[in-house]
Amino acid sequence: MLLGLALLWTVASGLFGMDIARALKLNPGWDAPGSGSAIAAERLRDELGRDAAPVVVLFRPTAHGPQQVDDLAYRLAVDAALRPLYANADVESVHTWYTTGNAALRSYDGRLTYAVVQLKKGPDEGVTAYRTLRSSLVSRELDISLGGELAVYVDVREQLDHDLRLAESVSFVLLAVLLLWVFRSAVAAMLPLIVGGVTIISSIAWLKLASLGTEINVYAPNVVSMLGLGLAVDYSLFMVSRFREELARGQPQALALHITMRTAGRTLMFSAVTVAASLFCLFLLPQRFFHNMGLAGGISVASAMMTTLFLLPAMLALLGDRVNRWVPPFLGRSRDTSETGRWFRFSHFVMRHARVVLGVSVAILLVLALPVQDMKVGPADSRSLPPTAESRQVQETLASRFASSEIAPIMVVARTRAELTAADSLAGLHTLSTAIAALPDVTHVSGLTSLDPALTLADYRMLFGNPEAFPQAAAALDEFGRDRSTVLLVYFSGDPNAAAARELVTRIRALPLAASLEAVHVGGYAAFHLDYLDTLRTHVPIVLAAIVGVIFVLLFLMLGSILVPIKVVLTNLLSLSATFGALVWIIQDGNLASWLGFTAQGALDGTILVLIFASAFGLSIDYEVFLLSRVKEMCDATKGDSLKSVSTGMQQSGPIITNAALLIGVVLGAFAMGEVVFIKAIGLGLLLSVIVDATLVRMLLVPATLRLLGRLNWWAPKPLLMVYQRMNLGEIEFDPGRKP
Amino acid sequence: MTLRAGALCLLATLVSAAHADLMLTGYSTAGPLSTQERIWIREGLLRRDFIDRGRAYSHVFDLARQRLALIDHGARQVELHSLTSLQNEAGAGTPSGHIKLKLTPTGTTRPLRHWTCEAHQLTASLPTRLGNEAATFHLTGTVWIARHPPEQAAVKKWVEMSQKKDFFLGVPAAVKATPAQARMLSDLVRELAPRGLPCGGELDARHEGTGPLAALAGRIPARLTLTLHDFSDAPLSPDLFEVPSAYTVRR
Repeated sequence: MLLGLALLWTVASGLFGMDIARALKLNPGWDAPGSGSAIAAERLRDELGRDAAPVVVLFRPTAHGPQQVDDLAYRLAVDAALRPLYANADVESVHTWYTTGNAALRSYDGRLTYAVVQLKKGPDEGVTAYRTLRSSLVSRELDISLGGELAVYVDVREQLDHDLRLAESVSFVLLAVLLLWVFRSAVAAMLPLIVGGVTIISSIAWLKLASLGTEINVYAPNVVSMLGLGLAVDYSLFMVSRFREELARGQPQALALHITMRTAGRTLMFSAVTVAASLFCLFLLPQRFFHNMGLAGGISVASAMMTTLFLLPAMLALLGDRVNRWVPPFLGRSRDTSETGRWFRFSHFVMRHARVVLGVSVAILLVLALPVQDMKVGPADSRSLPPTAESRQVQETLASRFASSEIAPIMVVARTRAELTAADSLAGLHTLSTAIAALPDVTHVSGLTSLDPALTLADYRMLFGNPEAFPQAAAALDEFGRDRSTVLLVYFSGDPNAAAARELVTRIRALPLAASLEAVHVGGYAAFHLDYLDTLRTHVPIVLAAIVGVIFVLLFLMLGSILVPIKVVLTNLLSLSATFGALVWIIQDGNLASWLGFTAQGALDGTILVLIFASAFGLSIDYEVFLLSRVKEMCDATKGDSLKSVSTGMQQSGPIITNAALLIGVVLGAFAMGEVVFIKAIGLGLLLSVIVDATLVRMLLVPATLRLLGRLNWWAPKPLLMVYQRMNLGEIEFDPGRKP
Repeated sequence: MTLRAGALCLLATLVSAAHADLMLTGYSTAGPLSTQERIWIREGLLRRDFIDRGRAYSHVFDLARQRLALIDHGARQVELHSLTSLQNEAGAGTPSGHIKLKLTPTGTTRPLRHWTCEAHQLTASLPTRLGNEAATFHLTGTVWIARHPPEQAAVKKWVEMSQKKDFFLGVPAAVKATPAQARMLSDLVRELAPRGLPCGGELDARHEGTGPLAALAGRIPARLTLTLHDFSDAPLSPDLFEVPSAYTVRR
C-alpha cells in the first residue's frame, strides 16, 4: 500500500517537476533589498521603463573578411548582420561604433567592434528574445559572439543543466558500485539508489511548487540534487545497515525494523533537523539568493528524511531477509565486525597518546587553514564560467582589447522636487552631473544636463524651456527622463568588477545633494556589488552566530552535555577554517586549476563561503553526532569508562561513518566536476569538509578530546540537565549491552 | 533628427530626368549619430529607409496621392499623413520670406563607381522663428552631384512632379518642431532636383539672430553628412512602396 502510494507520488512528482527550468529565474537574486542599488533598479524599471539587460554583440574579423573596423566593407558586414534586429519588436535599441562615434566601442587596434543591444524585457522575460536574437545574427565576413549580463545568465543556466545531468549520472553509477561493495548485496545496494532517486524527484517537485509562490533561481536544482542525493544515500546507509545488523542478530523482521526506526531513524531525523536548521539560518540574510538556497537546502533535507523514513521502511518490510540477496561472488568476504576490531585498536592508540594526537591534529588543521589569511572576498564574474563559454570569452575580450566597458555604466537615478525642466531642478542636476564628471576615473557622463560640454546651466535652462525650438531637448527628455525622475549614466575607465569602480560609487554617494533634488540613488553593476559586499559584511556574522547557536542547542538536547557541544562547535570551526584555507589555495589561487578544469578566480565569492558554512556545519555535525551517540551509550553502560566507551563507540560507528563519508563524497565530487565554478566550489568545499571531518576530526580530534575531558564530557548544570531529560533527542537503545 | 531628415531628403533627391527606378545606399550622420540610408525612387514614389538607435523606419512619399506613410518596423505600425496638410501646416508656422540659394561648382571631383561626382558649394538661407524670436536659418557646405549619368533616366517622372507647386517632402515631426526648415528643404529639393544625381554632401546648419535662443542655437553645432556608396537602376518591386499588410495603420 505504502509502496504503491510512493510510486504514485514519484510519478506525479516527476511529471509535475519535469519542466522546472521554465519556472526558474535567471536573475540569481543577489540584490540587497533596500540598498541604494536595489532602489535605483526599481526606479529605473518603474519610473523610467529601463529594465533590460544589454546584450553585447562582438564582431571580429575572419581570415577572408574585412580586417579594419573603419573599412566600409567592415561596416557593411556589421550592418548586414544587425539588420534582422532593426525590425525586431523585442529590441529597444542598438548602438554601434558607427552609429554613435563612441570610441569605447572600437578596439585599441581597430580590428574589433561591438554593438550594445538593449532588449525591451528584463533577464527572465528576455530569454526568448535573446535566443531569437542569437539565432538571427549571422555573417559570412565576420565572427559574431554574444556577451553581457543576459548572455552570462543564459550560459550559466545551460551549463548548470549540463553539469546537473552529468553529476547525477556519474553519481548514480559510482554510488551503485560503492554501495555494492559496502553492502555486498545487490538488493541492499539498490535501496539507497531508489531512495536517492525518489528524493531528487520529490525535491524538484517541491521546488517547483515553491516557485509558484516565490522566485527561485537557476542554481537551486543543482543544490537540491547535490544535498538531496548525498543525504538520502547516507541516511539510507544508516537505516539499511542497522536493519541488516538486527536481522543478523536473529531479530524477527518486524522487531528489526522497529528497532531500526527507533535508533537509526531517530539519529537521521536529528541529523536532518540539524542540517535544515543550519540552512534555514540563511533566511537571516536579506537577499533572495540566500533565501532560495536555504529553501532548496531545506527541501532537499526534508525530502531525504521523509523518503528514508517512509519509503525505505516499506521496502525493508517487503524485502525482509531478501535484503541480503544477490551477493556478488567476488565480494563474498565477510567484514570486520568484532567488538575489538581495528577501529577499536586505533582509538586505543589515539587515546593513549591523546595530548600528542590533539596537538598534531590541531596543527595540521591550522596549517591547512593558513591560506585563509590571504582570502579575498569579491564578486563572482564571468570567470566562473568555463573558458569555452561564449559570454566569458566576450567579457575577456572587452576587458583586454577595449578602452572601457560601455555596458556597465554607473546609473545615478535622481528625482527632482519640481518638474524636471524647472530652473531649480536643472540647477540641481547640473551641479550633480558636473560634480560626478570631475571625479577620478570618470570618462564622461550622459544625462539631461550633460548633452554638450560647451553648454552652461543657463543654456540648459533655455534649451529645456523651449523644447519646441530645440528638438534635441525633446530627444534628451525622451531618452533620460520621465515625470520627475531622470537617469545620469556615468562611464568610467577600468573594470566594473574592480575595487576602484566600487570606490567611485562610494564617492558619488558622498556628493552633497542639492536642495532641488528629492532623492538620488546610485545603481548599476559596480553599485550592486558594493551593496552586496556591504550586506555580507553586516549580516554574515549574525548568520554565523545563529548557525553556531542553533547547532549548540540541538547538540545539547541530543547529548545532555555542555562541554561536548562547545568542543564540537570549536572543532567544526577549525575544520571549516581548514576547508576555507584549501578553497583559497585551490579556487582563489588557482592551484590544481588545470587538473580540476577551472580558472583561478583571484577571490572567493562571498556567497559560496556562506553556503558552505551553513551546509558543512550541519553536515559535519552528522558524523560527530553518530559517533558521540554511540560513545554516550557506552559511557552510560560502562558507568563512565571513557577509554572503553570511546573505543567501542569508534568501533561501532567507524565503518558506517567511513562508508557514509565515502558515499556523500562521491556525490559531492561528481558535482565538483561541474564547470560552473560556483557549484564546483560548493561541491569541492563540502567534499573537503567531509574528508576533514571523517578523518582528522572523527579519527583523531574527537577521541583525543573525549579522553582528555574524561567525565567532564557529559557534565551539565542541573537545571539544564532537567531540560535535556525532558526533551532528550538522543537515540533510544533497546538493549544497551548489545552492539547497536 | 528632424532637421537631418529634411536635409537627407534634399541630398537624396538631387535628381534628373528619365524613367524606371533608382536605388541609392549609403550612410548619413547628424552630429555624432550615424545611420544607414537606403533610398528608392520609382515614378512619383520615394521611399527612404533609415535606422534610428537600432530601430528600422521607412518614410514613403507618394507624390501622386499626396500621401506620406511613416513606417515603424519594430512596432509594426504605419502612420498615414496628407502631404498637402503638412505643407499647409509648415507654411502657417513660418514667417513670410523666400529661400536664398546659391550653388557654385568648386571644380573638385570624386568617383562613385562609374559616376563622376562634382563638388558644389551650397549656401542657403531662410527667415525662420525660434520661439518668439525672428531668426535666419542657414545651410552651408558641399554637395556632390553626378551630372547626367545614365541612371538619371530612372527618375524623370519623379523630377517632373517635384517641380509642381504642391510638392512637399517634410515629415510631421520636422513640420511641428521646425516648420521653416521643413519648408526650406522642400524648396531646396525643387531647386536642385533637375541638376543631377546625388553622391553625398557635408552641410552645416546654423541659426542667426539677435535673441538669446538664436545665440544658443548658434552654439549648438549641427553637421549633416551623407555618403552614398552604391546605386542601382534595377527595377524595383511595387510592393516596396506599399504599406505592409500585417502592420497596424493609423491615419
